[in-house]
Order: sequence, then C-alpha cells, then structure tokens
Amino acid sequence: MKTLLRRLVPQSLRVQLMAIILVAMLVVIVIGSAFERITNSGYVPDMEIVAERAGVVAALLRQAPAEERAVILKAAKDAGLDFRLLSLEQLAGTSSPQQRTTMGRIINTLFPPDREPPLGGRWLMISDQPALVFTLDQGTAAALFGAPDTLLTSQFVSPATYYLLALVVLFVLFSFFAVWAVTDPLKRISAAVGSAELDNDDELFVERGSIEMVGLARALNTMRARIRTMIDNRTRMLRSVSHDLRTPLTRLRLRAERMDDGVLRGAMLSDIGHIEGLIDETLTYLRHDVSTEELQRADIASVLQTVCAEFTDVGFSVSYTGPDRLPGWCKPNALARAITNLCDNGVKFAPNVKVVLTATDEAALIEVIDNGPGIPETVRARVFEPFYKVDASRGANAKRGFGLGLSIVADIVHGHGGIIELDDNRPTGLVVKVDLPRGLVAAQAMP
Amino acid sequence: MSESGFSSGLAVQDNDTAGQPKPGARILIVEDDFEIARMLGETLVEGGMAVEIAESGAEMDVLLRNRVFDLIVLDVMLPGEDGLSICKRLRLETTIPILMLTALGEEVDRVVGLEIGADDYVTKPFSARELTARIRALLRRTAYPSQERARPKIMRFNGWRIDPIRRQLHDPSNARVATTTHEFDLLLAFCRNAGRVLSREQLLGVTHAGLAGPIERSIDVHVSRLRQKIEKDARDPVLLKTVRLGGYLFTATVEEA
Repeated sequence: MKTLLRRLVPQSLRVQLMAIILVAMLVVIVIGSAFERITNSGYVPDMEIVAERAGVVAALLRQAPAEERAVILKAAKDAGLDFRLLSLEQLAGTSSPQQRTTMGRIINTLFPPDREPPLGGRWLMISDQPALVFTLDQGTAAALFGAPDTLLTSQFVSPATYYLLALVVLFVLFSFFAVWAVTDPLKRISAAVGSAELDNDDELFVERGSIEMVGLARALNTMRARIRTMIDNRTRMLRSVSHDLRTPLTRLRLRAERMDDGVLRGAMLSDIGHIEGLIDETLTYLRHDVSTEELQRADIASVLQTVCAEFTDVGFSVSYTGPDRLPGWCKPNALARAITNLCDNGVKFAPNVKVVLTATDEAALIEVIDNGPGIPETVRARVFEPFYKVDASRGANAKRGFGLGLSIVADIVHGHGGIIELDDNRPTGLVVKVDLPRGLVAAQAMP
Repeated sequence: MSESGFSSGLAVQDNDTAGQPKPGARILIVEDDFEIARMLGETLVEGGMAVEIAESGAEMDVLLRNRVFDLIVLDVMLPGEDGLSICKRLRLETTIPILMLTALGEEVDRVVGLEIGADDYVTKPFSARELTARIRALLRRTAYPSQERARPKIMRFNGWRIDPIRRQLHDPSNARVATTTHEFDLLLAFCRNAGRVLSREQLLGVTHAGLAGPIERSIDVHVSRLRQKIEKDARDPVLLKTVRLGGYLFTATVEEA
C-alpha cells in the first residue's frame, strides 16, 4: 500500500508543485460549479431581485391613493411579497436587527453591507421580526416581512465563490504540501546538523523525501564523510609523526645517558624530557580519550583526591576540599587528565592550588583555584583554543607545552556534557569552574 | 613517563636474599632498531648480564632454539610479526619473563599486552636506568618458584573488587574508585598478603617509592590516603590496621574471582 502510494506520488519537488496546482485547479472547478448550481437553483435567495421588486412595489404604493393600496398589497402578496402598512408611530422605538444581537453586530463588522437596502428602505425589527421598511408618506410606512436577512445571499455567494474557493484550496493544499515536502525535511536536516558529531559512524542525514531533499541529504553526508576523512588523515599523520619521533628520541636519551660530561648530560636529558612532554601532550590531544572511554559509575571525589595526591607527592602544594565520596557517572581517566592539566597550569604560575568539589543532586561543581597572576579577561575566550598560549610573547620563558592542555580539558568537560568557565580569584589568581552533570542520563544527553 | 605495570605488589618477600637475581642473567633483546638494542645491551652488560640481540621474530626463534634465556625484552613494533603476536605465541610454550617495549603509551595497549602474557611494560622513550631496574625487579620476582608466577587475577574483599591488570578498584556499589599508583600497589600488596603484618620497608619495596626518593614516612601517607578511600571511618580503621612497631596488617578476607 505504502509502496504503491510512493509510486503514485511524484518524486521531484518541481513535479509535486505542478501536481498541487493541477489538483487545486481541479478542486476549484468541481466545487465551484457545484456551488453555482446550488446558487442558480433558487435555494439561495437573490437579494438583488428581492430588493428590486420590493422597491418597485414601494414606489407603486407611494404613488397610489389610499384605497388602491389594498389592491396593490394583495397583488404583491400573491407575488410572494408580504407587505403590511404600519403607522410611523408604531415604528418609533424599533431598531435595526443587526445592531441588536451580538452575532448581528459581528457579522455587520466583518461583512459590511456592500449594498444598501433598496431606495428609501431600511431594516428594522418589528415585533421581533426583521422587516424591510419603506416610508410612504408622513403617516404611513410599508414593511416587508420575510425578506431574507442572511449572509447566504446570491450576492455574497455567487461572485465570491471562485475567488474564495481558489484561495482556500490553494492555501490549504500549499500549506500542507510545504510542511510535508519542504519544512519537515529541512527541519530534520538542520536538527541533524545541529547534533552532528564527526566521529560517530551512523548516517547523519536520512535520505528520504523528494528527489531534491534526498540529493541535499546525500550531498551533506558526502561532505561529512570527506571532512572526516580529511581530519582522520591529518590526525593519523600527526599521530604517526609523534610515534615515530619516539624511536629516535629513545636513541637520543640512551646516548645522552652514556655521556661522561655530567653538566651537558643533565641539560640534554632535560631537553629530551621536554620533547617527550610535548609528544605526550600531542598524543593525548589526538587520542580522544574522551570519545573512547566509556561513561561509568565512579567516585568523582576519589579522582580529585588522587590527582591532588599525585601533585603533593612530587612536592607541589595542591589540596583537595570536598566530600570524601561522591559517586556519579563520569569517565574517570579523562576526568583525572582534565583536573591534572588544570592543576599543572596552576602550579606553573601559583604557589598554592586548591581543588574544591561541591555537589548537588544533579551536578558536581569542581573548582580549581590558584593564587597566581590569573588570566586577563580579554584572552579568556581564546585559552581553550588548541595551540593558544597566554604567554606566547614570553618566548624564552615558554618552556611549556604546545598550548593543548586547556583544549584537552575543554574537550573532556564537553564530552561529559559539562560546562567550563574561567573566573577571577580574590585578591589574585584564577578560578576554573567545571560543572559536570552527575547522572547517567544527564551526561549522555549532551550533543 | 612509563607505566609501572603490575610488577609491583606481586609478593613481598620475608627473606631478602631469596629474591636476588642470579648473576649473569641471560637477556634476549628483540628490537628492530639496532642502535637502541646495542646501547641497551651495553648498559645491561655493564650491569653484569649477558645479552643477545634479535632484530625480528624469526631471528628470535633461531636464538631461542639454541640457547636458554632468563628474560626477553620484546619490542611491540617489529617488522613482520609484531611483538604482541610473538608474545602470545611464546606464552603458549614457555613461562619465560617477557618485558614489552613500546611507543604506544596507551592504556588499551598496556592492558592487551599484559593480558596476552607480558610480565611488564615499558614505554618509549625510556631511560636505560629505569629499564635495568625493571628487568632486575622482574628477574627477582620470577626467581620465586611459587604461585606468584600465575597470571594475576581479580580479587575481592568486603565487596570491593581489585583488578591488577587494568589497575582498577571498584567499591561495593560497583563504582570505580581512583587511586594513585602507590596506593594501588600498596593495596595490591595488602590483598596478596592478607592477614600478614607488612613492615614499612617491605611496603616501600613494593611501591617503587624507593626510586622516587627514599622517604619511609611516605608509606604512612599513602596508607592513610588508602584508608580514606576504602575505610568507612579513616580514623577508626577496620581493614587496614596499624601494628605497633611492626607495620600494617590487612584484616579482610581476600578471595580470587
């Protein structure tokens, strides 16, 4: 059934558009002619004719002497026009029908009478019946009862039919069509782009819908694949460069260790150590620990305690404040790496670093606080960019990493669905705030 | 820089002399980079060991057929058959200690290496001194004829689970608890010697802490951190008791699983 439907529906957006227009025209013609038949069949009163006749009768009455009026009234009644003579005093205190009911007022406002009642006539309510009243002379008036008072007059129906119908049909059909064929697929695609993760394998854009939409989705999928291949190639290159550097570096280190000159040996070993550090940093950045390590139940407090203990063991002042235990969902190795990087930065510039953990039911707030010089506000947004260094100008003093440390931290925090912010410490220093969702769902629901 | 493997904490010897490697231990280095192999060999020879070098798995096979070795230093990245595959193959026929050398410092590779039967793992670039120390430690360890040679197994105590290969600790609610290398090595040693009093000197040997700097008091620091992680109340320890003038005693019942 569905395949049959699919075969019947044209695949191209252009053909679909043309089909919609054809269908709309067909509908307009069929329904329009049906309306016309109803209008012409007399079910719908023709106001114009009624008004014209009433006007003629009223003119006759106005001219005729009093005794002849009865004859005219009778003749009119036979012709289907129910005229009655009323004195003007009787008419005083009556109102026009449209002004009386709310409905009438609304109709009057929405569809102002585009045609005045026939010459000298007006609408009045007489004993709760609408009547078309003509003043005959000073004392009398003729009232026509039973005249149609509805919207549904031929005046309204017949010329508007086609326009209205065409408008409504096209409008309805086009809105449905636009939603179905254009808006929905575009929404789907933009949602997919929004949640796009490059290293995730499944097909991102569903190739479904009209030919043009399928083409767009396919083009986007191809583009994504190309970008991924490009990035993969670069990553592989960088990784193999880093790897291959390790063999000559091992040789260099072994050679340096066998040197006799103690001072030179020490200097060389320190340089080698620095290069090793850079390679390690690069490999860590490229390794994507975050994407490969699985989210697991782990004690977040123990991760922070461990990082602090490792710094303390090598002689830095890094202290932990917070609960002894804090079970939550995280990637413990990645988280440890992130906090290590932050503390690493801290101890480079500050004598004391504090790691503070505070917990709510949903989140764990980790603050790494130092009393160093801090980071100027102007460059804060950039410090998370790879290869960015705050002290780039201090070239000689920059015996440090590639500037990947904070990028790795940001990657890891975002991989947890968390937020990272930099803030000022009082009186001096930097506070790095990492807000992590603790729950499994919260941590997985990140884009 | 390099991982410490699980070499530490395997056993704590009561008798210090039993663990000494015999002089003139025969080492086979399987490494395709000749320079590295040569310099490493020289260092080991200076350390009183006998060294042979093979540049590939095939050469290694020839040497193994004709000679007897006490330990193999095996590079992971070799031309032809790679180190992991060689290690797996060797393990089927022999229990000779294998120390893997690699440029891949990644956790996964370390775990794979240890799971297929390597005894320890050193990441390039390493220092000759460190590697020599590791080789000695490995030789000392494998000199015991006991059950310690068996593959390390996951152990449990009081609902806690300790995995020596992955170096992971899980609490009774199955949440991972992070530890420093020293804390883990200590806990591993305690688990393997449950019910025995361990002196600070013995524990110091276990944690490699001696390499970083001989601070005996640091054992107390590590133990107190460990208590904070595994005890309900660190001030009133139940699992890890201090023995006056003796050292520490791990009271839990440890089972292998």
